[in-house]
Amino acid sequence: MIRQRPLILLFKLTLISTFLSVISLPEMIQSAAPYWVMIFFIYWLIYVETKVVYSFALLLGLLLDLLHGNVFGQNAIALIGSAIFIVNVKKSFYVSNLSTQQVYIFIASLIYLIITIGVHLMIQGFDFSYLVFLAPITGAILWPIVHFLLAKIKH
Amino acid sequence: MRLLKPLVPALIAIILIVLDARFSYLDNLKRNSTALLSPIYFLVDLPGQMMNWVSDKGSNIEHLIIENGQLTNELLELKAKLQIYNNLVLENQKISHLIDVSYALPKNTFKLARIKSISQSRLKKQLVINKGSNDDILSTQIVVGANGVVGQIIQSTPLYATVQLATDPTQHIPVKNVRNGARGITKGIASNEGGMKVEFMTFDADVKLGDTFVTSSIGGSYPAGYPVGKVIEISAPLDEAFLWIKLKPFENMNELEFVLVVSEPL
Repeated sequence: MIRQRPLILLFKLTLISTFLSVISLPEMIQSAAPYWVMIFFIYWLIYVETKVVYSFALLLGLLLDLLHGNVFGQNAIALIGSAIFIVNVKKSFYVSNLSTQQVYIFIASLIYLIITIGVHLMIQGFDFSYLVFLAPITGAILWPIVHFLLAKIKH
Repeated sequence: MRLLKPLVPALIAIILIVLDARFSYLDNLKRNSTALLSPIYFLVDLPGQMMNWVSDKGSNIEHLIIENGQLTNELLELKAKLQIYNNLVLENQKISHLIDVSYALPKNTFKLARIKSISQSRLKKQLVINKGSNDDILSTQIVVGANGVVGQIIQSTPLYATVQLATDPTQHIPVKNVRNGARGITKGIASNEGGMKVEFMTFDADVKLGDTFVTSSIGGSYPAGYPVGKVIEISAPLDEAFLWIKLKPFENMNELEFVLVVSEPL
């Protein structure tokens, strides 16, 4: 199924996605920026046979929390939530066309968003705005490009 | 069975959230781990640094001469203003002696730092500066701009430090009204507007639109006297025990390029 060792691929994807996630962007674009680490992790999850999905999700999420200075565990729990959904639809995801995959990415991003907002609500409150839905939408829109580029990296 | 697999990692994540949000047990671990990750910020910042370097090298002499002239004029103007300020400080000291005041404003030292990146969303408002623990930048130090308070250092690694902006929803600053000394605590508003609210001011507190709030030294975490924001909205909600006071920060966080890190004298 895959030509690289899973851990090497995960390392590469983590490196690229963390770089993308710490790049400083203008405020509006920042709100619309996709959850890069989650999207890259989903790609790895789909195309690699592994049994330690959630432990990797936990570690990646904690790495992201450290990089962004967030509450420790916030991204980890969000990434685990998205991973649970993707693992359940993995077979369907693998054989689906790109537009169906985009729907799956949107739902996974939405789960990620809802969990993140939930954590924020519990800790510091949250002022709702429809702008927060931009990130899942851009994530779904950019999925075909990400998929194409990651396929190049994979091989 | 399928749902049992993610249970342990999810529980670990939840425990970590509670430990980090409610207690400070993970602070040391986070500080040390972040130091290991600082090369990532260095690499991300590298293209920007190179652009700055190329831009600096590419500036022509004529432009530099004009800029130098402008800066000299500004320096003269500031020196003139400083004389007035020095006179005011002397007068203040004399009056303090006369009325036998037991405290004095500390003589803080400042360190100039360049902003590497800004992360502002409704969920968090932070920026990263190019100075860290190698330059004696420590957690809890206050960061100011030309117009007022920017925020507070929350994380310091050898190469960079993270500043939590005053407008972040988790950032609290003890403040006082310049007009009458009424005290309160600011808190960032969780929105994209970047405002702050002043909490714990009772309905009978004397606050007017346009009042200026400055830092107060209550609690000892902030040095006193730095301007924080101006009152732009006041209301008295019926279901609340305190006034709703909204502040507009003096410092425009989006236009910052350099900041000063304030350290208390040893």
